[in-house]
Amino acid sequence: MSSPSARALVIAVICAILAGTSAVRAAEPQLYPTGPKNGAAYIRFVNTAGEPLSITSRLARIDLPASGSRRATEFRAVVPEDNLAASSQEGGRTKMINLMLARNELVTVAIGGSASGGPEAVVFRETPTDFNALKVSIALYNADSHCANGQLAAGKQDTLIISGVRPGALGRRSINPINVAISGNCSDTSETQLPVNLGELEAGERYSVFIFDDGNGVPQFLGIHDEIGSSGP
Amino acid sequence: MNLALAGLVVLIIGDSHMSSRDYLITTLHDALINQGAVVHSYGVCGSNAADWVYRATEPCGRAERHNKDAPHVDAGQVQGWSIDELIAQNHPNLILVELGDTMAGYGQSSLPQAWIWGQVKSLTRRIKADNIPCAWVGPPWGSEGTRYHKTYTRVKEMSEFLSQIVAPCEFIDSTTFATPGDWPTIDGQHFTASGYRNWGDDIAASVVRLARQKDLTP
Repeated sequence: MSSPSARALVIAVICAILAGTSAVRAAEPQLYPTGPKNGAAYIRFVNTAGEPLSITSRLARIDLPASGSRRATEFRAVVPEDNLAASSQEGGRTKMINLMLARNELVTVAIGGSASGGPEAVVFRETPTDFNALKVSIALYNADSHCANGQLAAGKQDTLIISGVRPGALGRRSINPINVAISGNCSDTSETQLPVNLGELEAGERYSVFIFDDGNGVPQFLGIHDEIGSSGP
Repeated sequence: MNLALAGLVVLIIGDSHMSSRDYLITTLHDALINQGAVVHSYGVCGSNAADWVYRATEPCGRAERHNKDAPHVDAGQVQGWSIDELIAQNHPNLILVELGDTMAGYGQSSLPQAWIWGQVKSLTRRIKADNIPCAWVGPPWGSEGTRYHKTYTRVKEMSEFLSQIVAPCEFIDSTTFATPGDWPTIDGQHFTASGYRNWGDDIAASVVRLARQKDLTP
């Protein structure tokens, strides 16, 4: 394996979009080496900035709109233990994102922070082991520094399924594939639950919920359907 | 004679265990035919699950066999097949997937679970979309201490992981057919003739049981 410095400019930028079909995703470019021979790791980007932003590497640029399904990419394979460098641009402001992923690690980069004067990346690292084709896996990513206790609840009785997720952390839970409404809040108190739109929870599927600040100190909840890219053309 | 698989059209796809004469493309294929099934087999050496979605190019050969014909083997660099085209061509009412060794990360410190999940899911999603019953054959023990870096611990780990993630396919656990080392190999992964005969017969017996349980025969 070559030294990290020799490969310091290997770039991880992702163009695949969660709402698209697999065939559409497969046609999108692979901008970095993939494959299991050296292990695999995965990275995705999510726009929680409230404004359109772009991510630029030495090789390419992708644009993530402020809303809609294209605000989040799918997990795409990267070579573990490579230096991954890119910059995020929001308006005229730029911030570098430098990462190195461990083998089998899934990294989510939530980019927000427009109210604080520029793009801020919150990096969530995870090596999940709950893959199961008969269960639903839900993760809660707390990207809101003001949200002391991120939690998700299910059903009309707001049964807690994930709780105690602190800013910068994530929680995950496997549940049975039942069609149930998911909601979230940021407090142990009887604060109103905010609905989270995840659609029908299907067996074998994985979902993510992001808590982020809307720029005015109000927590927002974004639900997305996870996709882990396989090595297409 | 009342054959257990009469009327069943079985499509088998697999890796190198299905890509050479006298491997599963002979033993398993014949065992299913002997139970009355019509069988179409395809093997691509080195293939992972997603390679059967994206029709990947592989470096070490492929083979196909149709019912009682002899296997046709192509050596060297080859292009594989896609599951969609094979379903359209063969109209199976049971799909058998034999893929495990190529994805188990032998020699790596840990099982690449997320990568395997992505691979398996890309294939099972296509099979599920066509609503065709399927069974997934997990890896056999093989031998330790060879150039493939296969270990019994990893084979067991891979089998247990596959059993969790291959639904809607049923899982056929090849580690239950023998104890480690029972079936001699030529290189750690690929068996001698007796090993492929045993493995093929045991898989076929599992398919017969599955066909009865799920009432798969027309």
